[in-house]
This record gives sequence, C-alpha cells and structure tokens, in this order.
Amino acid sequence: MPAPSQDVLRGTLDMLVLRILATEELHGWGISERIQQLSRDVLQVNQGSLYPALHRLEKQGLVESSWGTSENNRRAKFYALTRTGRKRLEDEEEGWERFITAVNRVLQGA
Amino acid sequence: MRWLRRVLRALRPLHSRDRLEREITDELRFHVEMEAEKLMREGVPPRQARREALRRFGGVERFKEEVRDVDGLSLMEGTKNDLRFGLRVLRRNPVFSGVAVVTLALGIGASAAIFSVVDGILLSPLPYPEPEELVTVWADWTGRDGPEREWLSYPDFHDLRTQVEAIEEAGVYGDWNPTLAGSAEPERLTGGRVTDGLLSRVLGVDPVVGRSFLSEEDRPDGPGAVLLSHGLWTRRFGQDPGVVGRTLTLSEQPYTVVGVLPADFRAPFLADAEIWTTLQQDMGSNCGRGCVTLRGVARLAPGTSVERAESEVRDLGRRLEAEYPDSNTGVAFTVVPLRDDLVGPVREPLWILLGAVVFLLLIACVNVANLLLGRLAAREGELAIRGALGAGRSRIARQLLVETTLLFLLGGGVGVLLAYGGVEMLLALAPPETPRLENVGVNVRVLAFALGTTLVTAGVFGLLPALRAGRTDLQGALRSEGRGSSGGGGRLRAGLVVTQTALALVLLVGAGLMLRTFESLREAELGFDPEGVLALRLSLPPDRYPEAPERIQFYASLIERLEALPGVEEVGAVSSLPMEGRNSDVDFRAEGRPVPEPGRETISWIRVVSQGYFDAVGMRIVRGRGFTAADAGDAPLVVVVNETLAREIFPDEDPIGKRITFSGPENPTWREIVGVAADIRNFGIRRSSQMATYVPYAQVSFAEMAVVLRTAAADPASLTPTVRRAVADLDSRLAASGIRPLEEIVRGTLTVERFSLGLLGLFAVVAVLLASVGLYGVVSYTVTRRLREMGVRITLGADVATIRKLVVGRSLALAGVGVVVGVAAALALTRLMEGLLYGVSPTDPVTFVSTAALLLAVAAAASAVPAWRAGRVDPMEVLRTE
Repeated sequence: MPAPSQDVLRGTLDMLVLRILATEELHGWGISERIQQLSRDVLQVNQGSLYPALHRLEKQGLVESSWGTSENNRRAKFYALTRTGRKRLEDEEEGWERFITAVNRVLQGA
Repeated sequence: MRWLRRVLRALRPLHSRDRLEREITDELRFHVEMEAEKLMREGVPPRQARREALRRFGGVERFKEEVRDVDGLSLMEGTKNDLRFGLRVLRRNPVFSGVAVVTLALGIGASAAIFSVVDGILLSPLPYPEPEELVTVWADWTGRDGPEREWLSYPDFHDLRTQVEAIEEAGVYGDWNPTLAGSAEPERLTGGRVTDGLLSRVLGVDPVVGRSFLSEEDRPDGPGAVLLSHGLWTRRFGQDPGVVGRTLTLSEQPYTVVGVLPADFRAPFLADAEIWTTLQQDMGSNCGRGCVTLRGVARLAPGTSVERAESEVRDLGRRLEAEYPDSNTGVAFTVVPLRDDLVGPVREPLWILLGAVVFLLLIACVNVANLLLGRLAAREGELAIRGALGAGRSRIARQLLVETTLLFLLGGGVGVLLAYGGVEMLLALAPPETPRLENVGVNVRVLAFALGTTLVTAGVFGLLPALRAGRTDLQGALRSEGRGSSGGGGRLRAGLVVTQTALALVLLVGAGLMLRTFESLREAELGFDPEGVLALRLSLPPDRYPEAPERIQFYASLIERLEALPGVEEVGAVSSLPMEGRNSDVDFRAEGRPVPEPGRETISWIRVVSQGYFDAVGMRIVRGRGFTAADAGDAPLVVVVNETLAREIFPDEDPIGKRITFSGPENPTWREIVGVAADIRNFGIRRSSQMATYVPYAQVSFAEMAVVLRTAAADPASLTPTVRRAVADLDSRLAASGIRPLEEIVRGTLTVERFSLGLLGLFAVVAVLLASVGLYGVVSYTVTRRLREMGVRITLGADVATIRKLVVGRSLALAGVGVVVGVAAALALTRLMEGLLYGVSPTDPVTFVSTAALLLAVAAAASAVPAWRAGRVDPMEVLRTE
C-alpha cells in the first residue's frame, strides 16, 4: 500500500491517539513522540494539529485530562482514555481492519 | 445528559476564560520546551533548539486559536472582540459609515412606515369582539339590472334577522343629521339611526356611562333616546356624567340621553357620527319592501362560515321572491365580511405601495453592499496580513459579518426613528376617508418587522462582502498591494449597479404611470364647472315647514337673498351635490312603453333642482330648456333628463315632448320632458354615467337641500360668514352645514390617487438618487483602479475627450443594461397596477421611453465627475507610483 500523504486524515489521527492512550496515560508531547515512533516517521504529524485533536477528543468525551507532573518535574497535562473512548477505539479498529481486508482482497483478486 | 455536560463545557469559557487561556499556554509551552530539550540533547545549541522546536510546532498563535476554537472559547470571546473591532472600524471611517447608515435608515425607515399603514389598516383585527363574525348585509339587485350591493328595506331586514340561522344578530342603520339646539349656536351634528341591538349586540360595544338602547326605545311610538359619542360628550358637555338622563332638543324634538360611548369606539360605518338614536321602525310601520333605505350589519353564529351564511341568505332571497313577487323579484341578498367591506377599496393601492417601498429598500441595500465591497477591496492588504498572522478564513469572514451586521443594526435603529416621523407625515397626508386610519402607528409588530428586515437584509447583503473576503487570494493581494482586487470584485459591483438601475427604473415607471393617471383624472370632463362655486346644506324642520308651499317659499327667498350678495353670480338649490356620494333612485317608465315586470324596472337617479341650478353649477342643456319660474306647483309637470337617459330610452327619437312617470301602473302622473342636460360624472371620474332625471323644486319640494352659489371670488369660502348670516336672517333657528367650495368635493374624489402618486413619486426620486450614487461610486472606483491604464493611454496619445467618452460610455453601458432589465421587469409588473390607472395603459410607451431616457441622462451626469478626473490624469505621476 502506498504511504498516506503528508496531510494525515483527521480520523486517522484521532484513532492513533486513542490507540496510544489505550496502553498508557501520556501528556501531549509524549503522544506526539509516540506517534512518530509508531508511524516510523512516515506520518509527519504536524505537531500543532495534535492539540486541537486532543481537545476535540476531550470535548467528545473520549479522553479525559488532568494536570500532573512530568518525568522531569514539570507541570504537564496528561490524557487518559475514558470508557467511551475505549469502546470507540474498538469500533474504529474493527472498521479499519475490515477496510484493509477488503482492499487486500481486491488487490489479490485483481 | 451528555448534551447538557457539553453545553456546560461550551459555556464554561465565559466564566473561567483566563484560566483556560493560561492552561492552553502552559500546555503548549510544555510541548515546545520538551522538544527543545530533546534537540539540546542531540547537541543543538539552546537558542537554535528553541527556534527549531517552535518551527516544528508550527505557528503557535494559529494553533492556540484553533484549540481555542475547539474549546468554544472563541465563539463568545471572538464575537465580543469582533464587535469592538467592528465599532472601531466604523468610527474610523465616518464618511463611509455615515453614508451607509443613512442609506439603510432611509430604506428600512420607509419600509417600516409603509408597513405601519398596511398593518394598521389591512392586517390588524377590527376593534370589536370576535370581529371575524361580523359581516355587512346587502341586497343584490343584479337580477333586476341593478347594483350588486343595494340597500335593504325594513321588512327584508326583519326576515334576514329572524329567518336566517347563520345570522345570530343583525341591525340596520341610516343617516341622521339633527340640529342640536342649545345655549350656543345651533349646530348640525353628524349621526346615525340604528336598531336597538346594532351597537350593543352586533358590534358588542358597551357605553362607558349610562346604558345602551332598549327595545322599547326602538318602537315607532317609543320615546326619543340618544347615545353620545365620547367626542361630543367632551366637546359640548365637558364630560359631565350628569348628562345621562338629560333631555336634548334635536331638530326641535326632545331626546333623552341614555349613555355615552367609549372614547376608542368608532363604528365601521358613519365613521364621523357623534350621536346615535333609534331607528323606530317596525314591521307595521315602514315604507314597504320596495323602500330600500337601510344598510345592514350582522354577527354570524359562532363557527359559521361566510359561505354558509351566503347560501342561507340567498335561500331566503328566493323564498321572499316567491312570496312577494311584486317587490322582491330579482332581489337576492349577500353578505360581505366586514373587514373586506371596510378596507377593500384601499387594499390594492396599499399593497402596491408596500411593493414599491420594498424596491426602495432593495436599492438601498444594494448601495450599501456596493459600498462594503468597495471598502473590502481597499482593505485587502490589511486582511491579507491578518491572514498571514494566523487568522483563519472563516474567522475573517465572521468578523466582517459582525461588522456589517453592526452597520445594518445601526441603520435599522436610525430607520425606526425615521419611521416614527414618516408615519406622522403619512397620517397627515392620507385621504381623510381612509378607513381605520386611527389604527396606524409604530407598534410592536412594526418594530418586529423593522428588526426582521434589518437582520434579513444584513444576512443577505452583508454576506456578499464576507463571502468575497473568504475567497480572496491573500497571497496575490499582498504581492500587488495597492493594485486593488481581482476583476471579480469589479464585476460583482457592476452587477449590483445594474440591479439598482433596474429597480429604480421600475419605480420610476410606476410613478410615471400614476402621474399620467392623475393628469387624466384631473383633466377629465366633469360635465359641470366647480370653479368658484360654494356649496352648503340645509334641512328644514317639518314642524315649522310642514307643507310644500312653506318650503318652496323659504328656498325662493333664500336664493333671492343670496343672489343679491356682492360677488355672487348665480344661485341654485339641489337635493344632492354632484360627486358627493348621496343619491336617490327612482323607477320610471316612458309613455307608450309597456309596464315593466317587477324586477325589470328602469331606474334612474333623481335630483330635485331649483330653476337656477344648471347655470349655478355650470351644466349645459344640450336640447330644449332648463326650468323656469313658469314650472310652478300648479303648472304642468315637467322633467329634464340627461344624455344617457335620452340615449338609452329614446335612441332614435327626440325626447323633448315625450312623457315619463315615476308612479305605478294605476293612474300614473305623467311628466313632460322639456330638456336634455349634459351628463355629469356623478359617481366619480372613473365610473360611467347613468340615467338621471331632474325635477323642478317647485313641483317636488324636499326639506333637505344643498344650495350652490357661483361666485366671482377667487376663494369661494371667503363668503362663508355672509352666507351664514343670510340664512340666519331668514330663520335664526336654522343652521347651514357643510359650507365648502364645490372644488373641494371634486378634489376629494381624487385623494387616493393623489396620495399614491405622492408616495410613489417620492420613492422614485429617492430611488433615482440612490441609483445614481451607486453608479457614481462604481464608475469612480473603476477610474481609480484604471488610473494607470488611463495614464498609459494618454502617454500613447489618446486625447482627453476620448478618455472622458470612455468613462461616460462605460457608465451608460452599465445603466443601459440596467434600463433594459428594468424595462422587462416593469412590463411584467405594471399590470399589477392596472386597477389604479386611468387613461393610460400599464405598458404606456411614452412613460417607458421617457423614464428610460431620464435614467440614462442621470447615468451620464453621475459619471461626469469621474470622467473629468480621468481626463485630468497626469500620466507621469500615475506611472511613477507603480
């Protein structure tokens, strides 16, 4: 499959964030770093567009935030997945899986 | 509940705005610092690390805004900021703001004022309980070649009231103009006679003092009782509650005051009535089924439709036709909702005026939109910079929208103030007989209309510049800063100007057609000459003038005295003045013709005149003669007929010498036709002439007559005191009423047209002004933009005149397109005015051509100044600034 373009689909970004938060609580910068690791620098997420996404997710009730101390004793805002968010993640992943399978089937069948 | 939490979260920013602002800043700063540290760990020097971190993050401000946007912070905050910024912009450009606000105020104010009138007269409910149940009742004489709405007879009214299920209660009324005797001069009052239930049960009005009529008071032998209007009570009785029970002498008969009506009560008929008494007729005593002297108002049973009532009264009509064939053949009945009866005649002109004022509003809005677009072009540099600084396109558009809404709201506010003044002016100028004028004012509905209009026009016309702002190529604008916007803006503005011109043309055509209508009406041949004629009305009380000889003697003496007055040329008496609206009808037939069956009678209206009347009022006798002193009571009975009667009854013969009668088939009294008089436009200029007969006063004497004096005076009204004295000298207890020039009555028939013309003309003038301002703006702007091009042309050898012709040519081209579109629209729309026009067709070529030419001339004039400027361009200067 060709690599996705630089403009990351919003939906993809949201899903990535949810997936990352599924495993641990992180602050915004941490999420940004993790995205870069996971996507192996293929997805160049505009660092700034992460924060609107986070706030959007929070507004939708999929994540919740709290102020805490970072690993180097700085004040940072941490994000965690809510139960609704976890459910949404499961639904989204399922959908994504089906999409990949369908594309693969088409590619193989063609 | 989730939605509730979301709403609360969205509203939260209002309270803890600062805290959230700080939180966002902290969060973003943390990110940048962590990135910077990471870079420093990789060996980048601190300052560069910081810068790189910032760069990787992207524009901080912009993203702060986006985050804020998501948080809903900016929705409230941003609008407040936009408002403050918008006000500042408006203040910094006072000329622009002023012109825009004034233009909008004119449009919105005029619309609100006209809407007040439409609302007060047409839309608001009548001031009676359950007004939709009220109808007027008429006899329909079309089955006997008579009018569609004829008056009722008492027996017919009685049957309508008792035999029609749909009618819950009904009443009839007639005129009554008694002379009130008192300590002051005798005064002739305007009033009405009503059946006892008409005011109290049909209209549902209760007196504020005293009581309503009792049924005993409505019997032929019942006591005389009167109800006073609030105005009369205040004027002549000082609001004394003791007036109830007092006896007044009215036309030399005693009447007891039984009550006073409320101050805000106005009957939907006899609007000026100040005093009411009972009709005092019943089935036993009245003038019979053929005697139609009454008008009816009824209240339908609750829940009954007008259609059902109509069919029931028509059934009654058929039953009565069978039962009383002599009187009721061809007589049907009909009901008309009271509101339609009252305001029907003014409906069309009012809606047309409302349409016209909406056009004016559109023109004003288009002007403002053009101004806004022009300013937008000038501000493109500023907007581009804001865009580069991080303001999103939607944000800019929103800010502009707030700015324009502010402008429109200001315009609307001033417009409402203008509307107050406008309504005052309209009320002062309106024809006095306009129904329900007292109901017109700036009320809550009008204010709501003004607000609604403001918001809608702000939304539609404010969106234009805002949308254009969203589509501007900011990069390109920055690069060619000062060069002005792309061609698209110019095209849009040109399109707006074309629209304006078209709208103005439609208004001009409407006004032009009204002007020609008015001229036609004024110049129409009346059949008589009202110039210099004074009219007055007298009523001889029966107890002092019981018989014909006394009456004839009185009027003869009066005419003699009046003729002797200096400045008076001719004097005559007549039972009703031309164009006054009062008429008597009579059945007649010619000798030698078969007696018509009931229902097929020939009807003419009849006037009783003194011998000098035709000369006094300026009517021509086309054949034979008028009346002379020889046509006395004992002489052979004579009549004069009008041309229409001669034409219709004696088409191929000479009517002189023929005889007609007004009596029935048994022992008719024949009257010989001695003359044919010219037709007069008795029912207004628009209505065609009908058959008329004139009988000499000496042979048929009425007690109530009008007297006309032809004077040499420039202002006949100046003779009023002398005339009053002459009457008083003859009989001190008589009061002359309605002393006014005959021209006033004639002018009074044209009040609706005059009013419409005045307003349409005003709108058209304002529209042309606005359109020319708009045109001037666009042409001037084009010249400014193309200064460079002009400079180049001049350098290349074009002479000044060519440049100027170019500019004027463009202006004329624009106006020309507008005129063509306007003509097309006007051709389609003026047919809606057809009811108002007279003597001119809705597609009158003269009007169309002249208004088109006028607009083109205005366009040329509007482009004169910019054309002059274009010619004076110094090419060196222009080229240097590039």
